[in-house]
Amino acid sequence: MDEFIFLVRGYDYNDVSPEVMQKRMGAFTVWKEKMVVAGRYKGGQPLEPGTGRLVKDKKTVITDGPFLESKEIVGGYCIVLAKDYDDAVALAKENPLLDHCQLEVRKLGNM
Amino acid sequence: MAPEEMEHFFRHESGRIVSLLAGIFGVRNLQLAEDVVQEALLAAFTQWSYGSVPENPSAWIMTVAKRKALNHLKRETLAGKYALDLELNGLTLGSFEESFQQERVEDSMLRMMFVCCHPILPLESRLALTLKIICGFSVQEIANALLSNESAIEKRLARSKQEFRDRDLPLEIPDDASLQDRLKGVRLGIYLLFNEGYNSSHPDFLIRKDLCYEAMRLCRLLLDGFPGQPASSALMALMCFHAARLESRIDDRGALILFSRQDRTRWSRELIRSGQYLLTEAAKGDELTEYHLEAAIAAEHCTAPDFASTRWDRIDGCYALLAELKDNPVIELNRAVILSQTQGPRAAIGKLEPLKEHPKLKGYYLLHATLGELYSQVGETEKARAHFQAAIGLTSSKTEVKFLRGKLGE
Repeated sequence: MDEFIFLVRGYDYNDVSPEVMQKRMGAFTVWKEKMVVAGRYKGGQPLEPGTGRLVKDKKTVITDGPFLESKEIVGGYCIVLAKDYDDAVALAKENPLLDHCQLEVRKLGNM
Repeated sequence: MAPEEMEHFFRHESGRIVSLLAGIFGVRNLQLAEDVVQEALLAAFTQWSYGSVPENPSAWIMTVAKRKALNHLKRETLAGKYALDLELNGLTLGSFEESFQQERVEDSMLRMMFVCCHPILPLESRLALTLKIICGFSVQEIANALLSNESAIEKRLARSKQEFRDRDLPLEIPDDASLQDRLKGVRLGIYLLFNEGYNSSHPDFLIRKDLCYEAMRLCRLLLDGFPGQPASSALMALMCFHAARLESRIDDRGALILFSRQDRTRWSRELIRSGQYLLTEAAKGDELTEYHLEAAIAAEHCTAPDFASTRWDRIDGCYALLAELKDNPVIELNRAVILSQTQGPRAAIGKLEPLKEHPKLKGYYLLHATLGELYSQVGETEKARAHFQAAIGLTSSKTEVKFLRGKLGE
């Protein structure tokens, strides 16, 4: 098994009601726990919303984000174990985050 | 955290903390309070999704809200925006910390209820505000719940908030002189909220349990905050009796079940017992409100062993008193239904036919549905059909339409 990262793109934070947050969290937790039980969840984290810093070169640091269109902004990531890309994509398809975001699946490089 | 505690947790936290913050920022800055809470909830939602829910989630959100509120204040006070408001609320940044105490939450919510049900606001706005501020509903959820559209709700909320700013309403418990009047207003708000859930005219959902339970939650808060108010106990009793029957009103396919055919074993004994206790509490004092009478009627239904043993005379007695308190022709419709039980369908038809001309009942689908039912009982099929068809044309509820079509044999 190799490590794959899911980059969670395009989180829409606008007008997410408390009830919807609760439902989404519940659905994501179910998926996550299933992955944990299967021993395939390696962890994940949200990125704090808002602007980051884009360091273009030694002289240029841009602080006024967003640097991308909102649907491309990464809002968080999680790392899972999968056999290959097909397997990783299958896992991503079960992820309820797909209902409102896109997942970019990338294989982590072996050191 | 147990799953049942988690149900609607975010929504309820929203109401708690918005109320608390409104007490700190002032009602005129309600929007700021809402924004801060939304940010705090989002932080909780993302952190907890990827990681795990902390030991004390309430305290976690409160801490984040406090930090975010403080950041806002520091930033905006520097800009001079809130300095005056804070001063008016007797607050300095130093005493800010102390105002975030869990004990103050319930008190803030009670105060907020008086603001949301303030007599200066139109009834529809009171419901929308209560749902938004105290119950944590989104504009879209309110629009669904109140059968309105988002932009209409948005406008109502904006107008109410403007009113708060213009009048500079304080977030306070009304003084003794106006307390009784204001309590009436809060009770009416809760009652309407419950009815909206119980008799929803929503095309898809005849019963919105959610609204019913929210109304009961608010009434519980009111009972705890202002004990010894018979009318509040009566209102709570009424809601308990109705809620006891919630599960038995709709069948597995979402169709309406006639009261006489409901499976009484599915009624919640626990809620009926609570209702009975509250009704006894409500009898302490010499006040007789419509809530007392409506609760008494519901109690009769809930405690009759079966439909045939319903004590119609007692129920009719309550309706007669209710008719004196409340000028509402629907009461006469209900009394006619009782008449059909005690003296047969013909007597009821005789009472109902003239009501068709009543301006308030002309377009009321239940009048026609009832007449349809009565005419079919006496075998006048043509008249029955005409009335069921009229009823179908008058209701927007899909469940009701399904029920009525069943009556027509369609």
